[in-house]
Amino acid sequence: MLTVEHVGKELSGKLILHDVNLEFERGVYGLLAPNGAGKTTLIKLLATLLTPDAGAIRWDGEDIVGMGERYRSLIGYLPQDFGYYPNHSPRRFLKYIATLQGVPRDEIAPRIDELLAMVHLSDQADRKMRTLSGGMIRRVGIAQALIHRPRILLLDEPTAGLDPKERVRFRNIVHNLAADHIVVIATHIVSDLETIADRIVMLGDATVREADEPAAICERLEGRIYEVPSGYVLHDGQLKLSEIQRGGETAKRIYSPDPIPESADRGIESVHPGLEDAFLLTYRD
Amino acid sequence: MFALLIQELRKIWRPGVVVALIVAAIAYAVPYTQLEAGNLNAPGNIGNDDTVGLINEYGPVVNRESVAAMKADLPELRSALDAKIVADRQSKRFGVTDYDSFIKVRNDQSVASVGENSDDLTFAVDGTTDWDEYSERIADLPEFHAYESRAITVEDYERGTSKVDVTQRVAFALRMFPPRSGMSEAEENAYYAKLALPKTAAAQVDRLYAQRDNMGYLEKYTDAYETTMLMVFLMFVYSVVMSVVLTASLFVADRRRNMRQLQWSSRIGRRVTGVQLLAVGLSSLAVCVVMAAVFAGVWLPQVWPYLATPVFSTSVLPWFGGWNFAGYLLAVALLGTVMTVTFTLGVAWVTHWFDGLIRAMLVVVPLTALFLFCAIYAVLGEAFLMTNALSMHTGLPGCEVAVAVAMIAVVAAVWAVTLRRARRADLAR
Repeated sequence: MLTVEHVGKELSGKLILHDVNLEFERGVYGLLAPNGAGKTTLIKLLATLLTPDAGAIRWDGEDIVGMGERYRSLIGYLPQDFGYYPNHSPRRFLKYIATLQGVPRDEIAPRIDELLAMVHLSDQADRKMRTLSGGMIRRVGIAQALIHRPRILLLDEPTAGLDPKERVRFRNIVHNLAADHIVVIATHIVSDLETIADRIVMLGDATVREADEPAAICERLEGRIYEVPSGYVLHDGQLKLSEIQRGGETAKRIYSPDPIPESADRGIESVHPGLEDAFLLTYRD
Repeated sequence: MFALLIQELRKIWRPGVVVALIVAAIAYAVPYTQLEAGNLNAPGNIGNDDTVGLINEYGPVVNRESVAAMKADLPELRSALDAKIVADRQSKRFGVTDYDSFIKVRNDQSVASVGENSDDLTFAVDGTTDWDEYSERIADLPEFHAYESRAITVEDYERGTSKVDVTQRVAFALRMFPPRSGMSEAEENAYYAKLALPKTAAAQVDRLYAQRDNMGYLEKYTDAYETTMLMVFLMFVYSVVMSVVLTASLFVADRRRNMRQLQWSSRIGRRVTGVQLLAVGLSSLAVCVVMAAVFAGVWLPQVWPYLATPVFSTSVLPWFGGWNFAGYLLAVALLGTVMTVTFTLGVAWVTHWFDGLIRAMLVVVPLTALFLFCAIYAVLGEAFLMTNALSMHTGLPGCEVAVAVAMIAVVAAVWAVTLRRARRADLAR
């Protein structure tokens, strides 16, 4: 089990994380927060690229900084700004990463073929990466994170640049890995997590604002999310979350702490809350 | 780790860059080498021919045995030369009957030609054959060269190198000049004879003096030394430039492309920088070895007869050992290689701070130019000889080695600190 215990981190004099406590077991964890909330900092702490100023991160009770190579061999990391060599082919690049990860020489070639097939890049395996699309390069990034069969996958904005079809494919890959991996996905795109995350962690004000199962988070909002006509006047405590299209007309999705009588005539309808509602409510201006 | 080293070497040895460097080398170095080789071994290059002739016949060392052999050959060679002189129809006209009389008349003519009154010239141009044409013809005789080159070598050897001579040269190299100018030669000799040298310098004097019976031929044809050193400088410049061009982009590219995130979070972690450093050093070493092989293959055959001859002679005094020319060149090549590899690692340290190649080059290019100038002027120029500029200025014999050691110490220190700090450094971007 991976545990984050009272972790604090300052960067360039700015407090990014303060007293963060989390536990990660097998499954998919979504770090859901707006840009600048500390997702990438937390991911980098988990990847040992940053060291905590306070607290510790432990793997089965042992500090990951002290574990060094033993811990790093457990993690696969896809950075937000994924670096690659434009003149390398995906095959050569994956071979380089496999070497960095200490994959035995005789296992490298079949593993690369397997991963390229998994991310649907077998036919692009020997093209220079500078000729690939952003989505293809992102898929190479996902493949490199898996090259050494890590137990912990740290994915920072993994779907940036992927088209809808590729996003679905990515979700399927993550879903298959969830059974025996810890997968931590940092994103601000709610739809990436909605169907695959076992647990959602929302960061804000340098600390953990919410850490629970998606269903539990949504359940807490049950009966408080409504769709109302665009002309509906908000009362005290009510918040507009988003605008939507309903039956060809613009409507509002709102949060109301108190029940609103439903009325088909007035177009007021109680709806099931989603993660996006929780996200917008948590990070409301 | 070895597999990673191979991968890093592949990143350094980009085929396009290697081909470009080879083409540039061929375009520049081949004509230059041909020119120097042509000058050195030009047909009728008397200095070279005579010296190579002596080396081939009497061996590469001027010592008691080889001088005795030369001396034994002199009478026969002299008879052959005299016969040739007498056989020349113009000899009688100029009053020349043998070698001695030829030398005497030539000296008289020489003195007269530099006198104020041209009327002093014994022989006027008569429209058909003048003295200059005649004397050149005699001096070009193979018999003349065969005799004179041996006679001069024997004479120089028998005149010998006194301990005062050696002391004077060592003292000069150490900048221990006489206290006042305008001394007579005798007074100057007396000064050097009584001069109290530092202990190490006195030991050098003893060592060099003991070597006076084992001299070399470089002094007789200094072009062999000077042209060879020009070629050494050419190879050195090319080794440094090629090493820097090949390796400078390694760290810059990784930084610019955010590769360190993947490298540092990988199993091998931050040790990757050490492996990259090893790849840079090995690449530079490989460049030096290739350049040395090219030098050995292309240039050394041009000076082959000189390689076994001692560097030591009356005017060429090395600080170390009884080196022959091949050993000397090996020592210079080792010094150049150490400096090249160390400088390349230093450049790698400079470039690892940059994430743009152009900005890095704005620093690296002037730095490389400055290094090449200082290295050739102060370290490799007359390296290990008492006339080396750095030794002369510092008064520290053989401080060329100290420069290389200092370079190693500085580069090792900056990399040690950098690698140590990187172990715990945050990679925030």
